Amino acid sequence: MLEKGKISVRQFTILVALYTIGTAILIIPSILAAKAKQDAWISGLLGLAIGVAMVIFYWKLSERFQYVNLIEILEKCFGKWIGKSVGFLFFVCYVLLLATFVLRDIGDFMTTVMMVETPIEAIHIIFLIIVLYGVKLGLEVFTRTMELFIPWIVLLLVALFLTLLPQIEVTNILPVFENGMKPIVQSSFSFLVFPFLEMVVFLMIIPYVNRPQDTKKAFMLGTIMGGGLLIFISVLTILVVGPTETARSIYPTYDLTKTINIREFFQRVEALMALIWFITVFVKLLVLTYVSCLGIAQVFELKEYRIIVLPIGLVLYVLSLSIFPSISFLIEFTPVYDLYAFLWCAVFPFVVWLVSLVRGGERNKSGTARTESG
Amino acid sequence: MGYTLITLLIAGLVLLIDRRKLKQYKRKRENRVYFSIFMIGLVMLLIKSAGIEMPSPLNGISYVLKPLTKMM
Repeated sequence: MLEKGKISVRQFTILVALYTIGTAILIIPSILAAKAKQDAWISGLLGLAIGVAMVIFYWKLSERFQYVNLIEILEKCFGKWIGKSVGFLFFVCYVLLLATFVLRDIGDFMTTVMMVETPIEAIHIIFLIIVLYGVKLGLEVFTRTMELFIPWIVLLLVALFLTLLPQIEVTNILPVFENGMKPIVQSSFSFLVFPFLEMVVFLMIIPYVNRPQDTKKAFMLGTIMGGGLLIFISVLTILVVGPTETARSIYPTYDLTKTINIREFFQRVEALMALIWFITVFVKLLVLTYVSCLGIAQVFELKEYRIIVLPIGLVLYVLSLSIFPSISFLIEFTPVYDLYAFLWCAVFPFVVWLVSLVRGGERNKSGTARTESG
Repeated sequence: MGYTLITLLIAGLVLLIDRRKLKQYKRKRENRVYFSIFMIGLVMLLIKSAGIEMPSPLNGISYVLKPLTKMM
């Protein structure tokens, strides 16, 4: 085993919840409102329901292989060489790419709205240094750190909700079902792909929970907590800012916090509220970097994953600077990305599951034989 | 030029931090994997710092998947 640390089921729940919120909290209201308009909450709930079903599927996949990690699952399914190559492709082409997206998201956010004159490289380097340090310290340490973050996030979110209460206009989410079912379903697909299908990386972390058989409930609970919060934020944005403005904005949540104004005295607190997504983006990037380091180290059968953390950070840094030239490229790329992520996160595990079904009889027999003899 | 110097500085710093770990591994495999990933990163960083535009991997993905998205 590459990772010797163990985390508790409760820590796993927190990890899943914060990972779900991740970068999504910044941009999900505009993704949901783009097509579904004021019905964003319906498509959010639809996406969440399918997302939880997918999460259960991932857990079942992990359970089927007695909670070993993804590379070992692939090796058992396809044999050593094909399994390793497919695993390597998955970690380089999907997980590492996702990590560069997350890093670029926070860099773009900072240089677009908060620190306009700071070069994006500086923000990337500072953010990466902390993340790589966290990855080097290991799973146990960073999950414990996340437990410390939870009260702050809850406090800030409650403050956000309370200060925005006076500005809510219920008419903003009316009429319901104005444009029929089709835009709602289209939006819910984007919502499903963006935070929920990315849960596939937890197939690498489930084995390191101290009681993996209890993780099903934790996995679902974390997803529902994170997804519920995202829907809540989207609804709040639409209630306060309005569906059209939400769909037009790039960072609607940030615009939402800008509107906080109580008697001309309590205002301009958006930098404080930005702390929420600094923490969640940090968690998401940390998990993705950790998982890609662990995966690549396991593919090459290294003794420990810590040795390749810094080189991978170097690659991550360069890729994040040159991955897309501008944010308009990203917006154009989004439908392609949805499909790409769908292939890696839904079709790929499904194929693995099918192969394990076909080969299942033979493996189960040898599995029971081993337990009897042992 | 200044950008290239900073690049080399970053690379040197990475090696400096990891030098003890690298010495500790007598096994060749760790060092080989380490330096392959490191060289990929360094070469990309040098190309970037020289101001040459690198082709983004996303263009390839777009090229392959764009017809499929249109079908959907």
